[in-house]
Amino acid sequence: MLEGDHGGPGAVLELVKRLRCEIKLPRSMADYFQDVDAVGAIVEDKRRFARRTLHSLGALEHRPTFAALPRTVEWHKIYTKDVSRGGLAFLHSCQLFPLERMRMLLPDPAFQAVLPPTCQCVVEVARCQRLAPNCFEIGATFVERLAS
Amino acid sequence: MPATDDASTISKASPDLIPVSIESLRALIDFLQVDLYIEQERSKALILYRDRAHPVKQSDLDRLAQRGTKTLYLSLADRDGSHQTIADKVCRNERLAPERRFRVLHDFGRTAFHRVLGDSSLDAFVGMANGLAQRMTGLICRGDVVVQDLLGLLDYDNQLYTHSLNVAACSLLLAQGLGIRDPGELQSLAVGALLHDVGKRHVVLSILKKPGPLNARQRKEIQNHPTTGFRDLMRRGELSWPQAMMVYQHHERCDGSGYPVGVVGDEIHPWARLCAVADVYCALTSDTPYRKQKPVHQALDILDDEAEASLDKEMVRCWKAITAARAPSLSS
Ligand SMILES: [Fe+2]
Ligand SMILES: [Fe+2]
Repeated sequence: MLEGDHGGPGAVLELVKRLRCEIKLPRSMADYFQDVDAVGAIVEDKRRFARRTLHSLGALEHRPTFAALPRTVEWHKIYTKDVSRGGLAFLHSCQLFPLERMRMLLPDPAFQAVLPPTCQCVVEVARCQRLAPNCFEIGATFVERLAS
Repeated sequence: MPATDDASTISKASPDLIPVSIESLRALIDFLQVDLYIEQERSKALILYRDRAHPVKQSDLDRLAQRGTKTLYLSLADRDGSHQTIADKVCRNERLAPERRFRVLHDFGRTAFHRVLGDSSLDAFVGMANGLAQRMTGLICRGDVVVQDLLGLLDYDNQLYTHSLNVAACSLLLAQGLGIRDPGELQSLAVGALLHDVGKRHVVLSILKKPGPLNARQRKEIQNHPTTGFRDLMRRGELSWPQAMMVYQHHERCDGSGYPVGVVGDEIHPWARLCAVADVYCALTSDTPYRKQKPVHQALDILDDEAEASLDKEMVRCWKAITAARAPSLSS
């Protein structure tokens, strides 16, 4: 569904929106996407790259990284949380493990500041935290920018 | 032939010396001719106690035990070769009582563990764990070591290597209690248990051994060890998924209060839940830098309380049944 040329980030974003969402936001995060005041705010500037809040949509392609952990190859809708030049934090419906590498689509134009000129990248999972059933916060680093 | 000259004094840090308990030596002396060293009371230097031409006798060991000597040092530069060979000889020696064989394995395993701990290569660490797990599983699987003996043999100093050996031994017993019989599976489980705290290699000793409570930064550093251990081992690519989960999830708790992820119930791999029970039990019954060891009955009560919320209830029940036979003598 998300392979090939779709006519730019705008069209990809429409496709991402149509993916089924398995994430169940806890009640405390019910207005996740209405939290407009937080958008663009610097959440941490002590790291190597400053992180900025960016509550938006993305897609993650599950792929096997470890021989011992089978992963069905398929796309999942994710919610991005914040982003820096080095990586991002996002919400996902299931647990991912450190070192897992997966393809990600970030079609929101706001990501162009960190991923020019593409909205595709490969990320590597660094950490994972369970927030609620079917809601995990995952920190990942960008390991490759892919051509659109 | 006790030695007194300086030429026979040797540094305790020498990599060729293995500390062996007097009890282990009782099992070894019949077929092992090696140079033995003893620690001098005042200077703490090691001096030659018996050379291989004058082997130590049981009566010598009795005398040493009466004097309060607990350990002699065995020279690896001897013709008997590496400690692995010695451990193999001992494990195969059917003439020796099983608990004696296990005691020797424990002593030698501790030394092997200690050596590779400082080794930057993880290969050495994993190789050691594999060899040790194979011998350990062999002894426990054949039913040679009975539970009471094994529990009595565990060391209680909570050094990382001893702790890992203890957790591996307890994990094997618990796995058997839960009905796992396949020797290959048990061995694999023992390797995972021996490696469960491998990430602590990255934590500075001043934090690991800090006698008081940890501050937030120090706690974070310690709590990183399941993740760093998992990353290190997965990069090598040899571990099975259940073994990897023992390393990554052994501090997760069924109610979500654990780390690193905070997963709950069935989200935690069964081998990790098993390792958690063994880990908590071994931690409670050992001295830590900030807490004295608890008697077995008290440790079991605490385990029971934890089982209410955070540990696997069925596994705790099984562990209590395994230790029950020994509890009366310890609760006095
Ligand atoms: Fe641990
Ligand atoms: Fe541990």
